[in-house]
Amino acid sequence: MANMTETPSALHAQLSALADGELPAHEIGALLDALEAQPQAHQWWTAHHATSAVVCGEVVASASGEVAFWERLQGRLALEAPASTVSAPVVPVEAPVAMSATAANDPWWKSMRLASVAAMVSVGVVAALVWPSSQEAQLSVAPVSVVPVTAPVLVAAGADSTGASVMLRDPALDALMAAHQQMGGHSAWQAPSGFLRNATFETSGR
Amino acid sequence: MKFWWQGSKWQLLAGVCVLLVGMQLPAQAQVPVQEVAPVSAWLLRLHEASRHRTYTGTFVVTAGTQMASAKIWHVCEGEQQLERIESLSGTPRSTFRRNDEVLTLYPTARVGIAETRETFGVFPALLKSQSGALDEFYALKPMGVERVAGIEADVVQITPKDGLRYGYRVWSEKKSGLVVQLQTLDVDAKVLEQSAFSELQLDAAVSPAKLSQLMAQTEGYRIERRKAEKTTAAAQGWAMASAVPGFKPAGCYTRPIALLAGASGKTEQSMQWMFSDGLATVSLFVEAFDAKRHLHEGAADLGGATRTLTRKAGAWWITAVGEVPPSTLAQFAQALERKK
Repeated sequence: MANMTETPSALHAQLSALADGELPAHEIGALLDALEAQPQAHQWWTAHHATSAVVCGEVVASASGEVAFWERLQGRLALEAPASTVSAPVVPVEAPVAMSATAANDPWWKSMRLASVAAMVSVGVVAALVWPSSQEAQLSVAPVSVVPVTAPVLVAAGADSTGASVMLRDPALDALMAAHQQMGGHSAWQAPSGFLRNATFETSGR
Repeated sequence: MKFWWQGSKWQLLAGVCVLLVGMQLPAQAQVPVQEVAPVSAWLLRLHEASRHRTYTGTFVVTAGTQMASAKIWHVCEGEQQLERIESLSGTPRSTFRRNDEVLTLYPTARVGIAETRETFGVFPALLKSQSGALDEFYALKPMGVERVAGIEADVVQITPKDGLRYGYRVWSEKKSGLVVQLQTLDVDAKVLEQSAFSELQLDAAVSPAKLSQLMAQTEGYRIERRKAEKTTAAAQGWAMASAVPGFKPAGCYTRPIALLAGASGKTEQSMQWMFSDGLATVSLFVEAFDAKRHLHEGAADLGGATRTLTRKAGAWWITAVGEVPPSTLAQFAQALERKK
């Protein structure tokens, strides 16, 4: 478990595990608490992400976008819960008793106690961290962006065994699409407009 | 005895042209030049136009519900082409191209990606070599004249002759053939994707020296070279059990695949085998199957003309990506077989 007294190297190790999706869920809340006390936490995360991306031959997204995402997330937290409770703990994730006392027909928003809010926030943070950073970057940075990069992937009807559309966003697929476009010059469209198209239209894996 | 106008359509057209030139009529005379040109010859004209015009403009791409735009500078100096693409949406970035050398700079992260697009050199040779296939699988039809970004453009529709590929509608500047708008159409002629200039200034004053200078300004950037290693499918142990009509192999590469969400942190190699019918391209990616990451088999529609389809084949995970209908991707994915 991370705590306020942990050394930066220990935090780095946990941050790395978090980025790789290997940090146990029960340690995430404590790590985020510990990072909150570290003024360089944003830079650590950005540097770690940039290094991983570049090593893998992929382009890193806007670093400022990462910072902006954190700031935006904090803003959302401030809106969704009283300021005094935001820093209180993400730990209640481990005590899932909150919902049991509510009536089944209570409106869902009345039953959203702090624990569930915190749990959702935790899940959101984890999802955001393992998500390709360019998505946050585009959400938070580009004022002129009209690209809703969070637009979900719709798995075509029939692709799913139930026949239902599945909402997902697959970073692996984005990376392959970027690779396809990089080598896409075997089309006669490449010289007239294909290259311009690919350079203009950014995929998450680019 | 046979008069000239009783001859073929070619002769009739030539006669009209001679008459119009003789009368010094303006260029907008309705002479459907493209009507008689085969697809490949027409594409060659478009290709040459893109090489020899200098222009600046704003380029807008719409794919599904998504849209992106960029500011473009393009200049030709002899055989050298220089291009600068400044993104107006998404992650801030500048892409520079000098012939087949491409550099993308990300100013916020201070990272630059250098690539060599060897495929820029394959045209027009590839176009000429595939001209037969292009005319066999696509038909070209003039659709009149329209204005795009303030420029008079010939509109041409390219219709596929089978269901294995998409169609296109192209707006090209009347005088040179520069493509100013391009739509990709599905089998029902519905627009899947569109690229167009919203604003275009032809023969603009663009300094090649200035672009070169900007491209060289990489101080403070960490430049990474993204490289795909050339290989052959046979060397990697793969072959196509049956060919997909019209598509020819267009190169095979190995390259690292990005670290993905939930990945173990190791960089893995993936084979990318490309196919092209001259207009559409398909990539077959093959990598080791990973139960943690490879969860969904089937086709995916990410919006726009590019489709994907995934399939597990034994210990391998195959992903087909291309600007073709899902059924075509399925044919590719099914035909790929392990040879060793």
